[in-house]
Amino acid sequence: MRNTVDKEKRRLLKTLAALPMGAGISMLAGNGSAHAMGCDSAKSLVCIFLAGGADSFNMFVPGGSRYNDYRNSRRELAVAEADLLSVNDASQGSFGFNKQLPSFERLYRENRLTVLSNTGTLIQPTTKSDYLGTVALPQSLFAHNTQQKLWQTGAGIVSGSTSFGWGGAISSHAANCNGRIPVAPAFSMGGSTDWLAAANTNYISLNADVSVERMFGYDNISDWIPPRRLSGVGRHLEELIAQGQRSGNPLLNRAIASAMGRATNATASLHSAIGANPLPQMRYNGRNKLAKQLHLVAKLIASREQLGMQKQVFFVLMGGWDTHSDQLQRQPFLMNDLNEAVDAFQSTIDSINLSNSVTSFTASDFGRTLSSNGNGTDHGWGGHSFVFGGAVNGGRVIGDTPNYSTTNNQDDAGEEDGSFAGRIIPKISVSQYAATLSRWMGVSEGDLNNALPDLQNFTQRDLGIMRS
Amino acid sequence: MLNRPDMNRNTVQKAPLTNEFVRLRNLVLALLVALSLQACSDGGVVVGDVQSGGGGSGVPGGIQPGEELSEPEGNNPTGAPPPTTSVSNLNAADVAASRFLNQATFGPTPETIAQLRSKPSFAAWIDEQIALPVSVTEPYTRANSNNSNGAARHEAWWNNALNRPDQLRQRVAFALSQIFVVSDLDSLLANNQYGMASYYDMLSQNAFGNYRQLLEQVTLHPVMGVYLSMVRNEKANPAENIRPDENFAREVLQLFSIGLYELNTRGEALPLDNPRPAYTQNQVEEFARVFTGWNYDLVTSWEATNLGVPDIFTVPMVPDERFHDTGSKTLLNGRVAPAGLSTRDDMRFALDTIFQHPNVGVLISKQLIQRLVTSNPTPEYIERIVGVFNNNGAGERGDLGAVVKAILLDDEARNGHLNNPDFGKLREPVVRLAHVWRALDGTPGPLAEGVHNTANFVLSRIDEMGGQAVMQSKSVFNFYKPDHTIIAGGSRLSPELQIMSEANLAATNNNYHHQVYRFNNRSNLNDDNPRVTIIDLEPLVAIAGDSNALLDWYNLIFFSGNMPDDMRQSLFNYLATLGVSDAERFARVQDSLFMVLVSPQAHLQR
Repeated sequence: MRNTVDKEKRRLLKTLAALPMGAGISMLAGNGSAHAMGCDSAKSLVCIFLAGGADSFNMFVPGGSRYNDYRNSRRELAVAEADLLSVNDASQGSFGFNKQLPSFERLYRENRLTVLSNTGTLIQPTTKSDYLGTVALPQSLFAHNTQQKLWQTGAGIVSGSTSFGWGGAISSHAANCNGRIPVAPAFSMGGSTDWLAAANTNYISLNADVSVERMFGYDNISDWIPPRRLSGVGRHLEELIAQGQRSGNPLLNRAIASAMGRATNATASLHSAIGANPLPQMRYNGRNKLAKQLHLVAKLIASREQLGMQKQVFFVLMGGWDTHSDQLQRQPFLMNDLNEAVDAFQSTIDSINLSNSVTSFTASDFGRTLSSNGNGTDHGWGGHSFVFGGAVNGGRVIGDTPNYSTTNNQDDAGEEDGSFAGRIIPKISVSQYAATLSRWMGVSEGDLNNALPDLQNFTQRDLGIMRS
Repeated sequence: MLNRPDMNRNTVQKAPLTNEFVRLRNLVLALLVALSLQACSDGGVVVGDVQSGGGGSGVPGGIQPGEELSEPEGNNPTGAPPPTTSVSNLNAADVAASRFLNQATFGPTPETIAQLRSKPSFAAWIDEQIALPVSVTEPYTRANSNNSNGAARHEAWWNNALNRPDQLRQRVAFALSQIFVVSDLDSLLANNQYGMASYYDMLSQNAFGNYRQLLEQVTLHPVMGVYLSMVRNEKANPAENIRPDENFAREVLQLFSIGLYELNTRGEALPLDNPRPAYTQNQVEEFARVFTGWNYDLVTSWEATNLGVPDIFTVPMVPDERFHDTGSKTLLNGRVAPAGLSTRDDMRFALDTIFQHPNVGVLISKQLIQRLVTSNPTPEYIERIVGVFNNNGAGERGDLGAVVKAILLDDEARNGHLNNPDFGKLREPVVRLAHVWRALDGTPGPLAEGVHNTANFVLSRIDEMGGQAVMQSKSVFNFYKPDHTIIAGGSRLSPELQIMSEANLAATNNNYHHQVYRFNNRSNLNDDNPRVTIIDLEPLVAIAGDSNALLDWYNLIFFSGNMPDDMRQSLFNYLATLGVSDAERFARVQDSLFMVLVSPQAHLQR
């Protein structure tokens, strides 16, 4: 026996390492009030973020007399009327999904998919004269990074206390429902995201392109470190993480140590949960990166009980939508992948009978210009979103169809000289969209007001997307 | 060569200079060991778990690193209690050199620390670096790729980062590739690897040149033309409701030059709660009109679809006046490009206008500081560097060599760790891996045909491990944002933290596990993957009998003297559980090296 003090110290450090780590930045889960308000039924929400600014005006197209306006503004980029998968809305008449989106059409016909027309970042209801006047506008319109951030935070400005995501507000609520569990109930398969940023709940960032591996060296995992050394190595690795989390300045040291602590906890738990729910029935082209992400989401949804999660939130991301050029060549492939991923995912959720407790929705940086730059489109503002799942009150278009006309268009932000720009002013705000979905997840009205500071500026706090 | 009990690496072809490097390293190691022993005798700290076979006289040179140490098998032959406190004893000048090399190269090694210390000053070293010939990637890529195979340009890049002497230029070029971003995740660029390599070499060649020239070469490089769709951007056609493409125009303003908001020279956007935009949507559209009329060179027409000649993507784009918008354009700060300018003159007028904007020096300087030195430079540091950007002392604006030199020699870079708790940054995953291979003489596996590989990822896919691979970010916004905050809503920044996801940290942990335990110089590769790069642990095994010496080596090379005391003590305690026979020393090195490489502490560069 070399040193009993050392051994005792190690034991203490090991205990510390097992506790939720660090203040603020690394709470693993909430305070365990599993019977709190809004925690009654298990639910999962999936954000499908179409990064780059998806040209949703070509994914869902107005029919009837409005089609001509659409065609005139989009010119060579217009989807041919014959290529549209026609559907109907009881109050607004006929529309068509792009022919690359047959599963969207199917879900719409099954009343399980709703189209949210012309949605975007807004601080308050904004008309064209408001836009040209002095009304407060979302910061840095038309710039990718700021508009992504505003979509994900539900705020009108990019910095300060509004930097938390509305997905983070949901995950904080989820953490409260879930109680003390080793893994946060929020996951990103799309890297770092503002949507899940929260004051007191972390999210776990996973890479769907590779399997979730346990970390060698920890928990006696390694076929290469001899057994007599392995436990000592693991104990000291945990000690180093605990030291990093305890260290004062720099903050950076604590942050990276906490991230590692989360990584060791999460990978160990998730590895076994995912292994128990491989969901081989989900089939798709192996090169479809979005489908891979959604497959991992489906596995984690199927593992909900095993992981002790009553509520979960997920962020998946598909890039490539910034179609400044060659849009007619590129967008069909994007939509085809999106369609395949959504189809495979929803079918899998249906097959495990969780359809009514899983809702998915799309979001994007912004819509794109109706007008063309020759072979593509530029950064716009409002665009269409899609919400689907068994709990969605589907088969409807929510929100007014925007005006597609190139002349005297009151929905067009317009050029400085008053000419047509094709940047459509949104009619529905992200705040309203966020509030509707968050409420379905059980977030209280008070928490919604905190998470979405501009929600108070809109009279309709619930868009009626969900059945109940 | 050092002792190699297992000679199964006989087939490995070493680089011609390696022997000389190893000799140099031995010298440095000997010095280190001697110094630490000297400290022990001087400071009265008893080194109880090892007796130096070379006598341990404390005289420099009294022990040869290649010599076998005596083997007390972990017992204390004198019966005295073993030491319980680990004491670091590093040479202050070595530490200063190591810190500097962490900022200016792909990581310090014993040899490069010695080389740097042999120069009259850090400034002299920088001057020498700037004068070195430029290491390039295009010739290797042409020789080893069919233009679609993306691995070759990565191999060339890694060979430069690991082995070439123009380290500062390569490090700055990598930083520039994260500002003037292109990525071959774009499908057209994926099939034009000669162009990708040519773009990178262009950055390398301009790394110490003038920003204005760099900006023009970036603008006209066909790879950028493709990536931000400036190539074949046409003037408006109102009859068809067609406008010019705004892609390049927007990003050249937002990302390559002035940024979204008006900045003061301290790098602050004001007012903080709602900063003033640096430009309007209308100005983006005016710049979009400027950047019309550029086509690939070496094609027969504006529309030609046969882009099969590889050189199309390596030579600058050329104007086609028919498609250029010749009207006047109102640009920044009221500057108006007059009507009737040629395609090229219009472009030059616009880039001159951008170049004169007061934000340029702020945006570029701050990002270079973040890439090389610290994530949260003080406003005063930024202001000093912006001053150099705006005037290098000889009246030149935009002298990047002067900017880089000023960044590295600034008092904050040199001494910020002493007085600023927020000083420093997380090391980039690519830079960290390059450093590990440099420090431990990483050599391509025997069947790797001279190409470096990690255990699970080829170099062109290591973004799946750490979230970063050269010129392979997911968008023009780079692997991470320069304003990514450590805590959501907080003020302190850490761009690199954005990619330290749980998945990436786990994959990185496992990579270093495999590197240390499976792919070292004693590994039997007959039972494993003979294409994976091998690290040489013998120099460490030679000193591993002395825990303090081993920890000092880590502290100098991987922590630049900043290994926290509690971490050092933990490792010291662990090492005390192992003996000092050759096999035990090897075990000491493996376990402690693995713990060091995957520790959170080793991510921090201060």
